[in-house]
This record gives sequence, C-alpha cells and structure tokens, in this order.
Amino acid sequence: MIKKIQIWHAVLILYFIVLLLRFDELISTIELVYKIFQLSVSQPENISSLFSANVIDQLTSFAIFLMGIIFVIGFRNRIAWLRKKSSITLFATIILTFIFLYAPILAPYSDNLQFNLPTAKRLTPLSGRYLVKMIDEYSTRSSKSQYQKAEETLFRENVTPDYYLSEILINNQSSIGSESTKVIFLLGTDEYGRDILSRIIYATRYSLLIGIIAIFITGLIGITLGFISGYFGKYADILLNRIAEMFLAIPFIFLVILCVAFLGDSLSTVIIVLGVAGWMSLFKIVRSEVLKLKTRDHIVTSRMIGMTLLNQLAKEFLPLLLPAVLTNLTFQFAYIIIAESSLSFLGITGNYSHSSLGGMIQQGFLNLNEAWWIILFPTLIITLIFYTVYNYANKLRNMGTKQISYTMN
Amino acid sequence: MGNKLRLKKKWIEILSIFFSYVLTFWLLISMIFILLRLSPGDPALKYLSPQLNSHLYDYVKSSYGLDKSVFEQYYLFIYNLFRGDFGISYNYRVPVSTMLMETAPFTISFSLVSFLMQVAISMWIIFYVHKHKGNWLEKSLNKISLFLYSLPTMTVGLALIFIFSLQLGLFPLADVHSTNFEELNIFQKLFDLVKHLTLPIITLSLPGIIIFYNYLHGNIEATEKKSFIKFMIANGFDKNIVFKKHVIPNSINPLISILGTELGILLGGAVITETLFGLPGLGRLTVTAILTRDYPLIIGCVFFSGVFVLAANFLADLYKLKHDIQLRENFKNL
Repeated sequence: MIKKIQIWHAVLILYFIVLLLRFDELISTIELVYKIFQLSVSQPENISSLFSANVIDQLTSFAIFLMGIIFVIGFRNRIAWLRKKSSITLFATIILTFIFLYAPILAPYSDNLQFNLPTAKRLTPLSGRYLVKMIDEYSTRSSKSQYQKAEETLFRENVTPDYYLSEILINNQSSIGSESTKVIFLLGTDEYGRDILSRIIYATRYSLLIGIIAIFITGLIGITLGFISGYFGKYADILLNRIAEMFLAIPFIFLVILCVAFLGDSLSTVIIVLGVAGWMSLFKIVRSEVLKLKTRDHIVTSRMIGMTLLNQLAKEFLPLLLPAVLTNLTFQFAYIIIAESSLSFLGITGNYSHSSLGGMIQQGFLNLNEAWWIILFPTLIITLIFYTVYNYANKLRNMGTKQISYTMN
Repeated sequence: MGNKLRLKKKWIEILSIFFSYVLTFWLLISMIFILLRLSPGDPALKYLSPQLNSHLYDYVKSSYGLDKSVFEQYYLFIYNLFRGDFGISYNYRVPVSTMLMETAPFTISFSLVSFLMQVAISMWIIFYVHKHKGNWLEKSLNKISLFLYSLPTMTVGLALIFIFSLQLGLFPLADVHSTNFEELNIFQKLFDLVKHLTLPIITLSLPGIIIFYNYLHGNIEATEKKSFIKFMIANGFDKNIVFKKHVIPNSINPLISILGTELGILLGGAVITETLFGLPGLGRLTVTAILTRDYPLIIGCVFFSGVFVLAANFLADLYKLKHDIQLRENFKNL
C-alpha cells in the first residue's frame, strides 16, 4: 500500500493536512504580510522595527511553504526523485523536513507560551480546554496598533488577562465580550503549562539546525586537515595524527564537557564544540584516501600543469572523496544529535532560551511518575531522527562500497 | 641469529608504539593546559569559589604559580599532574585525587561488567544463531538490530525505569545499594547489589551487544567462506569443533582493535547511565563537577578518563602486534 505512493503524493498529502489544520495561522500570516505592506508604505522610515526575529521566521517559512507547493506540483514530472516510490524512511524524512522548514506554521503556540497554571498544568494528551480571547471592550480600549495585535496573535509568549485557558465554556459571550474556542492539546502540556507539541516542533528544528551547522564545521576541519596531512606527509602528518589520537583518547562526551566547562555554554559555543569534537574520524578517512589518490595519474598531471593547491583539492580530490566524506558526515550527524540531546538532558548546555529535546526529557524525568507523556514524545522524536539518519548513512555506505568496487574493476 | 634480529625488531616496534602514546599523552596534557589558559577570565578565580574570602585571591594566585611566566606554569602543571596532584575540589573540599580514587573503581568495574556482559550475550546469541540457522532470532535481529541500535542510552534507561521500576516495582529506582545495606548478611548484600545494578547494566550494554553481534556475525560469515574452513569440513571434522576452535578465534581478532573505542563509548554511556540511576561513579561526578563549575574536578575527571582509554588502546595495540600478522606486515610497510 505504502509502496504505491510516490514521494510527491506524500508531500502533497502532508501539505493538504497542514493547510487543513493550520488554516487560521496561514490566514493570519497573510494578514500580517498585508499590514506590514501597509505600514511600510505609510511609514517607510520605521520599516526596520517591523522585522523582529519572530516575524522574519514566520514570513520565511510561509514563503518557503508557498514555494514548496508550487515546486512539488510544477516539477513533479521533471525531477525523477519526486516520482520515487516512498518508504517509511522517506516518509519520516519528509515529516522531519516539514518540521524543520515550517516550524512556525506547524506549531500552534510559541514554545515558551505558558498557559495559566491551575488549568493547564500537566494536561494529558488529547485533552480539550476552552481558550478565551477578549475581543471588544478591553482590546479596543487599549492603544495597540493593528500591526501589534496581528503580531501578538501569532507570537504570544505570555498569558494576559485577555488571553487565557478555561476549563468550562464561558457562555455569556455578549456581556463580557469574549470569544472562547475549544482547543485540543494533541500531546498534552508539561508541568509549567506549555504545549508539548509546539515545544517538540521547535526543539526538533533546533536540534536539526545544531546538527547541520556542527557537521559543516566538522567537514571543514576534517577535510582541510586530512588533505594537509595526506598531501604533504612527513612532520605535519605525524603531528596531526598524534593530535587526532589524543582527541580520540577522550570520550566524546568528556571532551565536549571539558570544552563547555572552559569556553562557556552558549549556543554558538556548543555548536562549535560539537563540530570540533568529531573531526578525527573524517580526518583519518580523508587522509588515507588522499594518500591513495595522490599517486594517480590525473592528479599528478594536475600538479604538473601548475594547478593551485585549492584548485586541486576542489576539482580533483573532492569529487573522488565525496562518497566517503558524505557517509562519514551522515553518521556524525546522527551522533551529534544524540550528543546534543544527551548534553541538554544532563543539564550541561540547557541554558538557552529555546526548547530542546534533551531539556524536555530532563524535565519529564523529574515528573516521570505523574506524567509519562512529557517524556514519551521527545524520546520518540530523537529515536526517529537517529533511526532515519542512520538508515541513510548505512545506505550511503553500501552505495559507496559498491561504487568503489566498480571503480576497482 | 635471525631469531635475535626478529626479537630486536619486535622491541623496536613496541618502543615506537610506546613513544607515540607518550606523545599523545603529552598532547592531552597540553590541550587541557591550553584550554585552561584560553578560557575567558582569570584562572585563579576558577579555583576560587565565590563564597570564599576575597583575601584568598593573592594566596591562591601564588600557590598555583599564576604570578610566574607561562612556561613555568606549564612545567608546574605537568609536574603536578604526574604527582597525582589535581588540586582541591572547592565543592567537596577534598583533594581531587581522593575523589577520583573513591569513584573510579565503581565506574571501572561497572564498565568491565558491562563489557563482559556484552561479549557473553553477543557470543551466546552468535552460538544460538549458528546452531539454528534461519530461526526467529536471526530473522528478527536482522530486522530490528538497526532500530535497537538507534535507541539512545537515555531512552533505553528511561523506558526501563518507567516500566520496571515505576509501573511494575520490580527494581529500585536509584542508588547502588539500599539504606540498610550494612545490616544485611553476605547473600542478601549480593542480592541487593544485583537488584540495584541490573537495570543500569542492561542500559549500558544494549548498544554494545548489537554492535558486537553485527560485527561478529559479519566476520564469522566471512571466515566460514575461507578455504581452510571448507577444507576442514570437507575432511570430516566435527562442525561444532571447527566453529569453536577455528572460526571464532579467527574472526574475534579484529574485535580487539575496537576495544579502545568501545571503552570510550562505555565511559560516555556511563555518564548518562550513572546520572539516570543515581550511581556514585566517575560519570556522575563529572556532571556534578561541571554543574557546580568545579574546575579542578573537571580537569581531574577528563584527564583520568583520557588516560584510561589511552591505556586500553595501548594494550589493544600490543595485543594486535602479537597476534594480528597482517597488521604486523602493515606496520613494517609504514
């Protein structure tokens, strides 16, 4: 059944589901765009103050959303990949990509929005409550501009008197001037009254982002040092090899702990440290490959005709190194995501303001007896990410070995 | 004559391996020192708790030799590490070396037991699978081994705690022994320890079992295709004896080479497992040290784990040198 669905079918179905479920959000995003347009025409001098990080985030993911739909519908016949038969791994990849790209649209609330505690504390999954929004008197009396209101409906971070959660339906709507809608917390809330679904969506996005930047750093360091060591050999080779051995001697988590302890635990430091801590295996692979490739005819020729070192690396070595490097980096990506969540689980790097999967697990661990759902969904997501990425890495490895055996023949 | 020459060559190989490890060891110390110097802020302040008197600053500065030049400091740092003097943990107010001596035996024995469990269980599975080829265990393991491996340590630990400790109440939640441990007799003590350590050891061993199984399974299949095994079976040797005495020893050798890496994974896993189950080991000590910014203790823990893994790698290298002929050939070519 699932094998008959092609990839673009799956993507379109997901788009359709998102459109159906998050219609309000999309409409209010369009409203926001319209208001920003209005304001930028009427007050062009204040245009920079309109674009906060939240607004940019929302608008870019909205733009990517629209472009994604057009891309999939328009290019489904031209790109062979989109017509591939889907598998469970591919489906998981599509879902993770959706979460990564469209987090602000998918998440019902901001990840730090804390509902009023007595009603919203530790709600079980699928429990429904009434969300009360005051509409007329209070909001018209307050001197907020329309833009601010539109911004507030999208990115609320606090519960205010005109926006709170209620257990019972407040019936006399006309006299108070409130509008109550039934909301369902799909994955429940945590002990501070925050929606777990939104937190998971944002946390997944952050951990994927951290992983991507970190492996970029790993790739940069690993390829450069490996190339230097393999190409020049001699003392550089010996020294770099010993340094790699030294880094390998310290277990990954201890190494990261050491660096975080001395260099601080801000997000950028953690990303850099995670990236630097894994360069050794890539270094060894690149070095051995470069050693093998160095004596090949076309590379010797490229040296003879006077190509610069950078040109040689980019045009002669890198295309041949690519399968091995990609495989290694995919494996590293999986490990880095686990390491990041383990670190924030241990509380070593969990101080940043956004939600993180490991931090959610840590919080759930403290409430394990009362609320199993806080911990269940983040662990499932971590396992899903690791499983998917690891699967890809295995496939890449098999492909690589096949390719190598072909070239050998 | 030739024998003597070979012996001499062997010693040269051992010595060169030893010196490369000494170099690595020196680099490890240097990296810790550089990190200590690179880190923002005054190093003396790191050794000084905010709760202490500010007059102690000068005293600490001179006692750590921070008023001297960088090279003198470097010399002092190495000298102190070799003496086993890591400084005094300002959180626990005891020398770091004492703290390490208290916690390291637990972690080492814990990882060792886990390692033995991994080897024993994966070997048992291998034997079982080999005896009944194509049975349910092999089929299901082939399918779910990737999934089992992709379970992070903390997921496994949390699931075990949730199911067996909280829901079923079979195993205790945390700590290494009960509060009334001293009153029990020896059998009860043993039972108590086993009860407390079952879940942590399962948590720590599960990924390793799957790695070993996959690794050994592939190796054994490769070895069975070799001609000398086929020759033996064709000559009518007992299949089980051939498997035990020839296939296994020939496919287990590469396993030793990943021993050092495996130990690193074990120590890393021990950090999470010990924190989850509240065990008094090196990993949990490291986590508490970093949460309280206890710099001497962090340096001590990282240094210790590094030395531990280096030593394991060194032993594995020596073993390889003795047994793996192919590797020795490679070594000559280098």
